[in-house]
Amino acid sequence: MEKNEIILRTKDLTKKYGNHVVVDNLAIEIKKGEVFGLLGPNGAGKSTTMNMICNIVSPTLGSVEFMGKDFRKNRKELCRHLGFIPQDLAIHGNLKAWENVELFTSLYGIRGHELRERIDESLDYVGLSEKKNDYAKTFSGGMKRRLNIACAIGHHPDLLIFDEPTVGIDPQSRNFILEKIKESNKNGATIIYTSHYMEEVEAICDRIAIMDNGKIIAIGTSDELKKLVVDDISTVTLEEVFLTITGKKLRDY
Amino acid sequence: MIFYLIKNYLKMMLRSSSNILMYILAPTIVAAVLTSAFTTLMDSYRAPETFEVGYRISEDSFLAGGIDAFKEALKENGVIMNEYAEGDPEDLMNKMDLSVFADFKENEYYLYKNRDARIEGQNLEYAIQEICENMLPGVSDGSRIRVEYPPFVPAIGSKDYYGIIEIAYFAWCSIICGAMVFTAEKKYRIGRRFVLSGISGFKLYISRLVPIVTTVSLGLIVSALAGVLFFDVHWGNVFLSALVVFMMIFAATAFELVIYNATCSMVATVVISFAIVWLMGFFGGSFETYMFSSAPQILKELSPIYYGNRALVELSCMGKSDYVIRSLIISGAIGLVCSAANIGILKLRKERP
Repeated sequence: MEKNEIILRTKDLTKKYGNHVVVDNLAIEIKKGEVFGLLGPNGAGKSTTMNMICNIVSPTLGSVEFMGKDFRKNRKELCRHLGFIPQDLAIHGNLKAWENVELFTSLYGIRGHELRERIDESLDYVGLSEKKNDYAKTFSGGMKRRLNIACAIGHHPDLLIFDEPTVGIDPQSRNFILEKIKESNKNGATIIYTSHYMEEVEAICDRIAIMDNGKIIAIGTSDELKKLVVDDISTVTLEEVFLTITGKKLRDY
Repeated sequence: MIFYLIKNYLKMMLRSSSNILMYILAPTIVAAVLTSAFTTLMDSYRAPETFEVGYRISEDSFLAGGIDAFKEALKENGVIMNEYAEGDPEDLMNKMDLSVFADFKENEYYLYKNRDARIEGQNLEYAIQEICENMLPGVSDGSRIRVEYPPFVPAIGSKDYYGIIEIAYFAWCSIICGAMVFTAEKKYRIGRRFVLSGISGFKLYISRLVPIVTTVSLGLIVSALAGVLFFDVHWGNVFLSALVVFMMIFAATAFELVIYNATCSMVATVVISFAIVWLMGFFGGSFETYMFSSAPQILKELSPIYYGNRALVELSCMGKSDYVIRSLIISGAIGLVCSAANIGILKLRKERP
């Protein structure tokens, strides 16, 4: 697959719960090698979109095309090319760091010597080599976040989906994670990134989509989004753009 | 893939202190409490070492020529026979406090049994049958008299009964073993990683079943060993007993995983499965002995625990039991049917609980 080829495409992606439309005819294209940011207020449909992309939730309508193939129809073949870092700390506290990585990396059929190499590599990547024999329950919030990432990258996925990976951690850990995301992207991985921290999204994303009420209401580079609001982009932040586009009304009250 | 899943689930379950409490300490403590509470009750189920039997014999009785040898043989086995030539047998039993009264006629005999002394009555009946089959017509040859205790009498003490039965009962509480792990999996939505990886329902089920069965088995082995070492519990046929308990663990795990996979709630699973298991144990002899239980036989037979309990008790006191095969078949059937249901549910469910 060449750079600038589409690695992921959603077609008319829709999710309804009863009469409530959570995601409405979503059509996005993500190019290989880009860092794609997905922004939106709470309840905008970001998580449902992520879950449908990852095949965790079935769409009511539409489809997800991943690496040129229908994801649902080619799930077994394609799932090993996808890595998902959930917002929840999806790790076992009663397992040591290396055991967590072993458990989740082995799900992709990696075993033996290769598995041991991948475990070391993943823990080294997130800076937890020294703590590999410590139980996850003894880790700080930042360390757990890093372990959460290590558990999702051991199978060398082509597309990495980060769902708010920097929630509730200190600036050092946040900086470390953002640097690693950039490094993964340099090494060839395509990234989808969601966060409520605008400066993070602006710093690492090539393109950004703003989602509200289940629809993409704006998409483009950071500068392109700013130009939707003002002519002089130096006078406005991404957060101001976001609030202008989505409104200032509270969403979860 | 499945090897690493099983290995890591097993590690988590073996590291859980609640599992040590549940499968090693709890059966031992519960057995000790029930043993001490029901010692007297169970003692009444044993045939006494010696008991008195009244008898009357007609001159033309088939046993007339060998009655002295017969009495001598029974005396050596703790049965004292006193002759009462006159009086109504039932009145005599009441007046003289006799457990059993035998009235030997020409070619038949009548045996009067006290309702509270069924064991003594059965012992005597068995002895007379042996004599009729083996001695006659050489009834006077005392050396040929054999007195054996009938094999259908499970003369088991409360220590052995509850020491064994509580192991079987806790085998049916196997879901607790995985409760901590599965609750954490649900809380942190770890199941999404499984969905994402495309793991099949079959592999996921096996990776949960095997560690639970292994951990519960190990815990109960330690508990059973503690019973043998500290309370002198006798298991009789160890291999068959272990097989019966193992199959009960398999059946219980598969059954309780069905409830968990169907409800997706560990609280609901524990409440539902414990209620069912308690009822099965209540009718199956886990608290009140199945021998003394006044529950209708049909309810006992509806409880899978009854077959396992009866097999284990009979293996302990007789070394063999017709209920072993029945218990294995019932546990195996429950295990297989529930396994198929589990795989089906996991296949249908998008996000694994």
